[in-house]
Amino acid sequence: MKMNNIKSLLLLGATVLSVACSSDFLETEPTSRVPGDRQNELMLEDPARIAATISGAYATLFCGTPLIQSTDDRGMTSYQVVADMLGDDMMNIMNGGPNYAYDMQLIFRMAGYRRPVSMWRQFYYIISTVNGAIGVLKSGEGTSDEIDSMLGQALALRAYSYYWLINFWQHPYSVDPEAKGVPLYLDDATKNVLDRGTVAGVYAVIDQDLKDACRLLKDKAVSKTQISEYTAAGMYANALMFLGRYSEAASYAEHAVQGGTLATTDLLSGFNSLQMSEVLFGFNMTVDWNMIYASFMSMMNPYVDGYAVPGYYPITATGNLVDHINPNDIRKNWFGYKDELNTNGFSFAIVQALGCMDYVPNKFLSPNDFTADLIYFRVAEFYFVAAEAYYLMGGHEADARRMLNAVMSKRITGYDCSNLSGQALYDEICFQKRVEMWGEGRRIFDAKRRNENFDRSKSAYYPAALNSYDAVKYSARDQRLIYQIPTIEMDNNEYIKPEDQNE
Amino acid sequence: MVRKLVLSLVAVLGVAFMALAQNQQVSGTVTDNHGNPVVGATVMVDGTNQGTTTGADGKFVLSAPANGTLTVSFVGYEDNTVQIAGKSSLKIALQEDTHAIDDVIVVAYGTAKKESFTGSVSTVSGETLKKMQVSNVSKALEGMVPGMQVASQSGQPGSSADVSIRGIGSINAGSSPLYIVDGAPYSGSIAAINPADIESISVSKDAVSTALYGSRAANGLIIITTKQGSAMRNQVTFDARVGVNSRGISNYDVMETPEEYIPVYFQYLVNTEGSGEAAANIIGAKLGYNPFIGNNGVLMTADGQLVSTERRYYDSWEDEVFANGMRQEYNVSISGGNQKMKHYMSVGYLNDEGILPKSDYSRYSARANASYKVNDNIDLYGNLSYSHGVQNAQNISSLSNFSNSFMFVQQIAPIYPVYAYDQEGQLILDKNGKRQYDFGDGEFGETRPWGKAQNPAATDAANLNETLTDQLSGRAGINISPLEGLKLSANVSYDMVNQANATFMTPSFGDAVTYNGTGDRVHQRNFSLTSNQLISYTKTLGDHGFSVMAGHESYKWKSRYFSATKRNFYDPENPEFNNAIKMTDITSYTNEETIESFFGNVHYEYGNRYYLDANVRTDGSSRFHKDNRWGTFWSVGANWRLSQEAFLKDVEWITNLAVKASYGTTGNNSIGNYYAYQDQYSVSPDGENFAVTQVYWGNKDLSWEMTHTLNLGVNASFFDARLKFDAEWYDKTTKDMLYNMPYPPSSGITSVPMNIMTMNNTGMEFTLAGKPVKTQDMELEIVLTGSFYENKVKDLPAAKRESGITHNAYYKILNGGRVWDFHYLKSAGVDPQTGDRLYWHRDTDAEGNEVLTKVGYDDVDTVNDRFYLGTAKPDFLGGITVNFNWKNFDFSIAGSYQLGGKVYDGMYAGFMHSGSSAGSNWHRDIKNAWTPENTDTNIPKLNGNMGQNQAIDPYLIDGSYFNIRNITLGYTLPQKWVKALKMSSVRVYMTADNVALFSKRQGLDPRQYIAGQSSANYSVLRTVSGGVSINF
Repeated sequence: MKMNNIKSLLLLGATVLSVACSSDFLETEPTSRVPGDRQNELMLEDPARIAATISGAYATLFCGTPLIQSTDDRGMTSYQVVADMLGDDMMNIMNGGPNYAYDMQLIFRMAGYRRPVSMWRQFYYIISTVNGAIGVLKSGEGTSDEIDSMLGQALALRAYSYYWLINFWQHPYSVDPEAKGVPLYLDDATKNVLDRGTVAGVYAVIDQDLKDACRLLKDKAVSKTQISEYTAAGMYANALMFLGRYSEAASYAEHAVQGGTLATTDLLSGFNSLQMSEVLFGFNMTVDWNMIYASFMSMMNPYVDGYAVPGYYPITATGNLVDHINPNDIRKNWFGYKDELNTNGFSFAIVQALGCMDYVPNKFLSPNDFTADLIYFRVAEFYFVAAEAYYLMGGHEADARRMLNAVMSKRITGYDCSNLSGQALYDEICFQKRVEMWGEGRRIFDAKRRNENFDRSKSAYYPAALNSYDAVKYSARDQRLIYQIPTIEMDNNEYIKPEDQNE
Repeated sequence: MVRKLVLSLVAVLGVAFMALAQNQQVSGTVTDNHGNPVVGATVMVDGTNQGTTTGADGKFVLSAPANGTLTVSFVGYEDNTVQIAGKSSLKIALQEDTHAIDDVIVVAYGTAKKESFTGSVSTVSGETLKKMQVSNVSKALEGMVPGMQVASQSGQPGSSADVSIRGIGSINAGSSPLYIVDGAPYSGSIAAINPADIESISVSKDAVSTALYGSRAANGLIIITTKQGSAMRNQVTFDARVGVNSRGISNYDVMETPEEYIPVYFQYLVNTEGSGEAAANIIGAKLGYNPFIGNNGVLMTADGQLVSTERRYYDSWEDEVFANGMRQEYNVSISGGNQKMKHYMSVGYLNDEGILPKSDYSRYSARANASYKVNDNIDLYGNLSYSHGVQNAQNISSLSNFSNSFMFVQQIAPIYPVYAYDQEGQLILDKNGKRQYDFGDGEFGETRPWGKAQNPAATDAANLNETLTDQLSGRAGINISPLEGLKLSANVSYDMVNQANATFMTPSFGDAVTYNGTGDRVHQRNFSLTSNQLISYTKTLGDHGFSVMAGHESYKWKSRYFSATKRNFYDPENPEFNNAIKMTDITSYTNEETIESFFGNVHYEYGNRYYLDANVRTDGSSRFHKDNRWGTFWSVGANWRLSQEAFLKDVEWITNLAVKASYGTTGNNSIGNYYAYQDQYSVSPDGENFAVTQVYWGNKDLSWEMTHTLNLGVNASFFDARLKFDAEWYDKTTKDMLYNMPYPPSSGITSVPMNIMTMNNTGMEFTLAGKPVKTQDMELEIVLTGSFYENKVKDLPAAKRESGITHNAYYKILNGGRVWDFHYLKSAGVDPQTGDRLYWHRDTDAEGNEVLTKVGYDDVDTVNDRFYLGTAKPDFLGGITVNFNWKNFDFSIAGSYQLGGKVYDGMYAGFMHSGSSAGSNWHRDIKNAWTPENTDTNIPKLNGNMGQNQAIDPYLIDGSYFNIRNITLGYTLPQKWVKALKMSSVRVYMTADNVALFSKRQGLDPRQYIAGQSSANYSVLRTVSGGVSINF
């Protein structure tokens, strides 16, 4: 009996064990996302899939990272608004809501605020994304046009990201190339610089990446949603201006303008389509991506029911800019309330009360659902860049006038700058570029590079609160125009010490 | 073996047949020691398995051998065995069993006697739960179980509470306990369980009581057992309860009139615009609305006088948005059985309306539990429950969400109307003569600078967020005892949740006007299947008792998700997709999780005095890489019943005295990603192309988080169990914690899950229950529970040991600090000269010593100037219950309390903004803000500068509270009335939940925030109901 008992127990024990699950019972795979190993397989199967990674970086450029915190930190166009808010050509006439007012007050730069965090995250997320692709693509460089094109785009995206980072976290190269830069993450991790390195170190990468990008993208057909040889040339021209290499800058800018045809009547169509003839690079809005109230048009178009409507958080241009625009300039139409655009019949009482009716922006227009392509680069910019570069080279004022005239004759009928020279020519280039690029975030870069002074009191109206922030007259060297390293970076990057923080 | 089974079956039947042959009819009455009839007592003919139960009058009739004996038993009474001795009528009195081991507790894979159990378990009875008016049983546990913290984040009907047992379970891995329903892990919705069906809830807290669920048991177990029929006692019960829900927590003390608000906003404008003149010029335009008539649009004079004339409107957002709801609940159950079969069946209906439109929950539930004894060797059971829930929910989630009515009604400045008015204060009616909602979007000429295009009074009712949940849960099993003491069991459990959610935002007004309405559909189907096979052997040899058990279990959970979004709706009142033309989004995916486990238990007891348990369990989890998938967990426990020892056995006043100890390990795998060891990329469209980005960074080395718990306890009861005292001390150490390690954003990586750090929770908990009064007519019982713990994190990674790990912005974990310790910028008051907020700044003096200086925000070092500001961990938590019975009346009051523990009152911080947001309301405390005339204050100048509010200590507040959780008064109708109605008992009662909350600030409910940060959550509901409970 005892023996039997033991036998039964053993038998039952065996039964229990026999119910154990098959070996793959514990293997599960995600289906909402692509698992890492599978992603590697897929890329090896078809290198063209790397293009999807680069598209991912473009998407981040457009809408920011998944860790965005508000409606005002959603990608590139948000930061274009920020860049203009830091200067004296744009203002947010009400506080609250999307807080571009804090940018205007020059306070949205402290380590704990969302502005530095989101911008930092966005550009580094792009860098991290393209670094993965660059590593794979470099091994296949020269084997196909497709790979070269992808590599060129990836390098340009990386350089462009570092260009923003270095200019928002440090004074320009010309001030001190050896000043503290930003961490450098590269496709070869052994070359990463995780401490702040130097400004020169960052520019070395920008320089090399854009030079390579221009070479690799040469004669490669890409769409306007991707970086072409012309966009890369334009980006390079901008970087070279900071490096003071004006002759190279002029030649790359000359190349960039080959990428499109200057717009004419299109200028008044609302800057909402990549079809516009002079667009080099932008984002093609689809229904999946429309951010509605958080979209660029919601911030900029006062005639649709978004953030920019009067009485909510309207953004306007300033008198100091608009009042000086030639009345015959087609761009004069970009500013000043227009009844025919106010199809929704909004009240502009607050704008009127503040005396800003002439500065209501009409440049960016969209349908009521905010659907609009976003424009990052246009050829017009590079006429001005080339003109400025020629001027600064010395001895090339004729070329400077040629480029200025080429673009301005499409803005003002009968425009003629042949009588301008010296400082007057330079001032004209600078002013016309300010008008041209309003809302596109170029002014602050130029002001920093040229060490300009801002004076908001030159406009008839500016928010009085700016006085209490000492933010009416300030120079482009003002410490408040560079951001602090975000607290979350300081907390988690052991290579950046408290003493490395910007004041 | 089959032969043996058949033979024993034949033998049993044969004996029964023989017994029947010699029977006579016997009737009798069973009474208690006061002479009252005992209803439902079991009367068994000794030596047979024949018997019956007593009826409503305590009477029974059965046939038995004339020379036989009857044994009468009833819970809480000593068994009484009487000789029939040829009598045909018997009077049997039962004595209360004061030494009875009155609690049989449900534990992992079985039951145990409370006095002999080596682990730590607290039990809440179905009777107690019945009093609480909750649609979700997790909320009924507040203050009931020592060592358990229950945070009811939302008062919305149907919503669950966050439960944590014994301190803070984990940081990033889940910290909620594992729910076990009728023996199997439960993956369904807690709201689907009808509390009326619950027999008891056991909460297992230490390692020995949870180790058999080793995986996922690190945060404790909540074991829910549903009602079963009892043999020979047939009963039908009917319960009905109807009441009113009202808002339990009021608004903060915010401003309520334009006369109050406008002068403060004016002060802000004077501060920013530089002069009263400039402020007076602009205030009307800034605020967008003129709440007065006849002031010609001038709200304030330049010298700061309110031009207060006749009001244009008096709308109250609070009154227009909130309304009391009705709560109704009906339950019918039938239970009973015979020697072979027991059954319990119930149907229930609940309709719990919220205090906002469309925030109600209704549930239809049905349950059938049955068990069947095939023969002496085999029995079967099956439980099946179905519920259909309809949840309407408002989007009450965060402070920044304008559709959150709890935020909106308090945060909107009291100068804006709910309805549209013309300049003379007349309602602007629509073409049907109805008043129209004002969305502040300029439609009626004025635009609100805050909450434009929002009006919760309109949208709460017009929008839809409805979730239908059908849930089917099944439990079935077979137990076979082929030999004396040997038992084989196989159990399966299945939980299937089918959810269909529909949201719709009206095209008529509000957020979705822009796209002419938007609607979402989400369909989700989750199922889980758990099956286990157990073998156990029990043997008693004299004073020695042994049992061994071994088992295998597999768990599989699968969730299929599908959602779609469409916009542009034709008929504004039809939310269906066939009525819309623009497809914007469509998503689907499947998630899966599996766990496989092997486990065993050895139990030994000696002489009713010594009890030993040992458990081991090994689990494999699909969340981890196959090389790191398996974790082994074990525990040992011992219990010594001192009161059974010779030296105490005769001490009359000690009813029971036992001490126990256990030690062991449990695991946690619930890092917030099902595939945590893998990198993951998301695929999205870029026009016609793919856009792929990495969104999760996995870790192949990731494995189980393991908790080691030492538990020491004492169970004592004295004076015939009229005084009971249970106390336990624990030391719980969680090693290799699953933690999403934050990375520097410059790496492009958000965080990587890792096994790092050690956390210790040490604490004590007790229950003290006494019956100071106990007479025939009157009984008073007082139950007091309490607990406290200390939390400490150690072994931070080397790179973080100095600096600590910052998480959720305001918290920092230091080596040796707590998880929820506030470390942030610290206010140094307000500069009396400028009115600016000052901050403490760590500086060094000439000798290099650290000194603290006061600086403005621009000079703060956000990394180094963080100071310890207190902890969210409470000092002491507990509950108190008083039960009082007098004759046929019963009265009970239950309260819960917390002492200490800070809350960052984010709501209050929002109400103390420095003015930057026009049209956003203030707390009345803001009236003490700095002005040139009022310089001695802690509240900075209203100048819209964010730098004024970057410290959190002004908004930290003591989270102590006392809540009167429930008051119930009942009356049981006298038996003679009831008999006349052909019922066995009738009780009528009134009950009130969340009667009063006492906290440190009006409007703040600290119970809603387990990690100590307030936001505008759905207020807890005060429910007052009347009910009747009838047994047939």
